[in-house]
Amino acid sequence: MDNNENIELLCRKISQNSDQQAFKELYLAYFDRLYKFAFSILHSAEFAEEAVNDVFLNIWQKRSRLKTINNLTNYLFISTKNTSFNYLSKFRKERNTTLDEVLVRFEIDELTPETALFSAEIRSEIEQAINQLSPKTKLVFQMAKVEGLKYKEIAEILNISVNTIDNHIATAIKKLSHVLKDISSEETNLILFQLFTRFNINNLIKHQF
Amino acid sequence: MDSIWSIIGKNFDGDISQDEKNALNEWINSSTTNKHLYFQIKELWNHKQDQTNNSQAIAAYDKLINRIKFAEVVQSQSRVQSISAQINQFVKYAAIIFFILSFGFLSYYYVTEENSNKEFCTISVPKGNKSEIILPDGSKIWLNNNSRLIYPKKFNRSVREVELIGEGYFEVQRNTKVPFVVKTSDINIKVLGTKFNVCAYPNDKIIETTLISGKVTVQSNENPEETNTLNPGESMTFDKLSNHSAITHVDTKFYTFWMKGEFVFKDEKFETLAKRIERIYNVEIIFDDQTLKEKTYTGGFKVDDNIYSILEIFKRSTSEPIEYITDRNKITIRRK
Repeated sequence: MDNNENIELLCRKISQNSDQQAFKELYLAYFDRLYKFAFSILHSAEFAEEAVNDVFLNIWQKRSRLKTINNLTNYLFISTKNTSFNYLSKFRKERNTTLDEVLVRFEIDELTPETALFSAEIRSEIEQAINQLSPKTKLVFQMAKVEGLKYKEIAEILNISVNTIDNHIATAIKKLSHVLKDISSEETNLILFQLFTRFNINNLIKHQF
Repeated sequence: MDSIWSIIGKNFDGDISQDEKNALNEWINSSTTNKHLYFQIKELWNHKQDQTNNSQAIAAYDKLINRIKFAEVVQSQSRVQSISAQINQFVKYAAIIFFILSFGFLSYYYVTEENSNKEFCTISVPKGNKSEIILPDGSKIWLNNNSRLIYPKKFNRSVREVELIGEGYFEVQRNTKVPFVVKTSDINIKVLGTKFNVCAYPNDKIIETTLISGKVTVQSNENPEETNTLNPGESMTFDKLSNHSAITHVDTKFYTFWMKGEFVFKDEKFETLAKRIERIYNVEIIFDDQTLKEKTYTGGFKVDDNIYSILEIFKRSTSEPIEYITDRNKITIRRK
């Protein structure tokens, strides 16, 4: 979240004044990311929405203690994870669900919209490649790429080390690079043409580092 | 040295050392292939889906607000209960204190009843869920998915009136002096104390009232003087278009399975089943071939079952081969 100060302000309004408008703003600021995260675990729009609402119902009911949460983003993601896992346990009629048992689904729409740069065929190839990865790698990749979370945050949410996150992301990027390399030369040439016309690569590299 | 893939990832994350930056730069500049590859990956990584789907978030928020309101109503009810429990405690020790307190309590009760007569509670059950409600008079109601029940916070003294959109199973507390009325879009169902099921979804052509035990009277809004009385085991189908009603004998257990999260049917048309599946799983089912709608099935599922496993069973249990194509929430069923 780029506007931490705004989020802090909203939290203060919610906990001190029971401000519903602020609560709505906070909800809308996080809904998309938490929903996608829950969806990748639950594979159901209905339950993903329900899980996010469970988390926010709890936030509202315990709003007076909202100040004691020091990293709200992490708190929300961890709560969403736990709620989603509880749902899974209920479906499977087992006591606990662990990260290893979660089947993560990754859809290309989550990855990128169709652009001139990535045609439908490339997108479907990328999607296939990503879906060949292990569920954990997929989940970590999605959290970093789609939900825009930092390695440190992902590590805390999933309760695994930053090093492991690093390995998962490296595996995913390596896979992507293989797909992109394998794309037929015609397609690649088209992409390259577009890349070169869109921005001057050399300038961009200098700018980047 | 970490692999180049790990360094690329760390660069996106923003947590990258100077050494790693140099290594990345070197790798990118070592060949045009690398250069292109890096920019493609970067492009992919940075492409975020537009957050245009705000309407979904707003709709979800509305549901959350309903849940919050519901939770607050339940909380205030339990608070009233705990107050009366405290009063009972006092009775044991001092009758006088009890008298004074209950006098205060009663006057409070009358004042609040006046005010709350016009206050209503709405319970909405989203698609794919069900919910159990206990009304102020002790009547129990199970609401099926995608249904709504509106009832007053306090019933008035002449009639217990609730409004139903969707499907609900009612176990009404017997009170011969104060009849219980379920209002739907087209008909009103009047009872004294019974068990019955009402299915009145806005998108359905019919409203179905099924009596398990007791006695109910059904009155249509169109012709209020014309009433139908149902006996246990009878089901009345009211056609919203023609305003015509028909009573048939049914096996009532098929009308109450949904409460247990089961979905059981006997000689039911595929079209009717598809409507129920649509509600349970929040999908849209389209028949490519209209004749498929008329096929009948007998069987059962647990609502917890995955929709694909259910579709798969339909696929396998049909004499003529069918297949289904899914596209997000749309499922098209056609002949193979």
